[in-house]
Amino acid sequence: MAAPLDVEELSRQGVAVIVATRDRSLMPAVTRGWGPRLLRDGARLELCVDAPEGSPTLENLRADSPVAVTLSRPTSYLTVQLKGTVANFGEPDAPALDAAHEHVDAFVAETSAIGVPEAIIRVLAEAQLVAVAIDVAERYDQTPGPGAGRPL
Amino acid sequence: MTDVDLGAIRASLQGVIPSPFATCSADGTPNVIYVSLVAYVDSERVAISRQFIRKTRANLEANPFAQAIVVDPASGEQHALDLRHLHTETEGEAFEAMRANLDAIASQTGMGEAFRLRGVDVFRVLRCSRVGRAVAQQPKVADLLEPIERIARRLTACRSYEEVARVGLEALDDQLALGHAILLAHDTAAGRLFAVASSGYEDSAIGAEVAVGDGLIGTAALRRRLVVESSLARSRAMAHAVTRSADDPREIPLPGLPSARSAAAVPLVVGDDVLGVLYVESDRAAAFVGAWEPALRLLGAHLAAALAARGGVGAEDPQPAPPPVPEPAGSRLDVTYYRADDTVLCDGEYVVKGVPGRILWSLLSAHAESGRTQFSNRELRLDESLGLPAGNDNLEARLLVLRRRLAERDTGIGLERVGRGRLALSVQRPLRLVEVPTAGPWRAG
Repeated sequence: MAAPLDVEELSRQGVAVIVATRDRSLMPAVTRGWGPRLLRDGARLELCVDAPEGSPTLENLRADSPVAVTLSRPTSYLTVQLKGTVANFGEPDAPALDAAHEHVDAFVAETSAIGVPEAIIRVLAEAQLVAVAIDVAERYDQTPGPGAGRPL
Repeated sequence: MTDVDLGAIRASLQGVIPSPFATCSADGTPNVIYVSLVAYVDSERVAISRQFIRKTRANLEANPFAQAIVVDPASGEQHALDLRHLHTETEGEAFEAMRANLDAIASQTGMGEAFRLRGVDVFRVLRCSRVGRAVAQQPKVADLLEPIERIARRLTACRSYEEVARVGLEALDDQLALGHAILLAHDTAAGRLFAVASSGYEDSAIGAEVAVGDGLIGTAALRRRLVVESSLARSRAMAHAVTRSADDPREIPLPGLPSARSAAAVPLVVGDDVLGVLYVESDRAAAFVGAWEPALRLLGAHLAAALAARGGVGAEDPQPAPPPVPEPAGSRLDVTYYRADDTVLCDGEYVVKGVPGRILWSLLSAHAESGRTQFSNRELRLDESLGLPAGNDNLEARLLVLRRRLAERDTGIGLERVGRGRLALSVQRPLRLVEVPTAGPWRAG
C-alpha cells in the first residue's frame, strides 16, 4: 500500500480548487472553487463554487450533474481529485463565506511563493459563489508522476 | 461574447497560468485536471500538450467535448473555451511551436523527461466566453507598428555592424521601453552564441557565451523560433543557464535582471543562417505575450537583415592614409597568447579567447614584425591561420567583441574601425609578446 495522501490536510493548504460538471449532452463545464471543507471523515466535501446566474455550472447543478473537484497545491504539485454527487446547493452561509475568504488568502500566499502577483489571484477570486455539498464516492491521487490516477 | 476570435486573447494562450480542463466520460462522470499550456494555433483552434492525462485521454476518445479556462497573465482576465477534440499531432507546426516552448522550460529546470512532448491535441474552439469581469487590454499589434517602423528606419541608416548593434539596443529602449537587452552573435563552428552588445545592465555582457540549445537563448537559436518565458519563477533561472565559474576569468557571466519576471529570445535568421539571438527581459510579469510576439519577430527580422547587410563580405573603403602613430611609451605590456585555446592575457589579466583572441594575436604579431597599424577585413578572411568559416563568419561580431574587451580591460591596445572593412591598431605601450604553444593557464594538465 502506498502511503495515504492526507486529503483533509491538503484541503487546508491554499490549494487551487477546480470543479467540473456536465450537461445532459455530456458537455463539460469547469469553474473555480473556494473554501473546501472535508467533513464526515472525508465522505462529504463542502465548498463554494463560482457559478453566476446563467453559467453552465449553475445550470448543471440544477440538473443534478455529478461533480468532480480537483485540489492541487501550487508549491508541491500534490493533487487529488474527488468525484461524487451533489447532496445540496444554495446560497452560501456565513461559515462557508468565511472559509472561502480564508482560502483565497491562503491561495494568494501559495501562489506568491511561485511568483504569481497577488493582483492576478484577487481577480480570479472575484466570484459569484454558490455553496455546494458533495457526497464523495471516489478519490484519486493525481500528483504528476507514475502514481497519477491511483485510487485513494 | 460567443464569437470565436482567439487572436484577441493570445496573451491567455501562453501557458503562464495553468488552465483548468474538464472532460466527461461516456457514462457521464466529469473529470477535471490542470494543463500547463493551452496554445494558440489559429483563430479557431488551440493545442494542448499531452502530458500525464490518461483519464482525460480516455474521456476524449469516448466524448470529444471539453472545456478549459484560460487566464491572461497580465490582467487576470479569464475566458472559458468550449472545445471539440479534432486530432493528435506528433509533428507539424503546432507540435514544433509547442516543443520549442517546452524544451526551453526543460532546459532551464533540468526536467527534460517530464517536459518531453509526446503529442499535441488539437481542438476546435466552439465558443469563447469571458468569465468574471473585464479588465484592461494588452497593447494591440497596431500600437507597436509605429515604434518598430522608427527602429527599422534607424537600423537602415547605420553604416557598420557595430553601429547596428548599438543603435538597435538604444532604439529598443527609447521606442519600446525594452531597456534590458543582450545581442548575441552565432559562432556556428563552436555551436555557441557570444554577446556582442548589451544595454541596461550594470555589468557588460560582451564576450559572455551560451551554448546552442541551452536555456531560452540557446533554444531560440536551435529551433529558430521565438521563445517567450512568462512564468515568473522560471524566468529567473534563465540568466543562470550559462555555466559560471568564479575561478575562471574566461567565463564571462551573462548579466540578468535579478527581478526579471519575463524574458524573450528572438532568433535572428537570414535565409539558412542563424546570425544570432536578441534577448530581452523585463521585471513585469508576462511582458512579452500577445501582440508582443509578432512584434518581436518583426524586430528580429529587421535586426537580422541589418546585421547581415553589414557583417558579410561587403564593400571596402580604400586604404586611408595612416595617421601619425605616436611612439609607444610608459611601462612595458606583457601580452601572452595561449595557442591551445587562443586565450590572450595582458600583464597576466585575461582579455579574450577564441577567434577574437586569434585575431588579436595575428594583428599584434604583424605589428611587432613590421610596425603595421592598418589592416583590412579582407586579409583577415584570407588568413587561413585564423580559421574563419566560409560564408557566415561573423567577423564583424568577433571584431566588435575584441574592440570592446580591449577597451574594457584598459590594455593600452586599441582597435578602431576606420572605414568599411578597415581597421586601425593603436599601441600605446611597448609590447612584449610571448606565445605559449600548449595548455592555457586555466586548463587542467
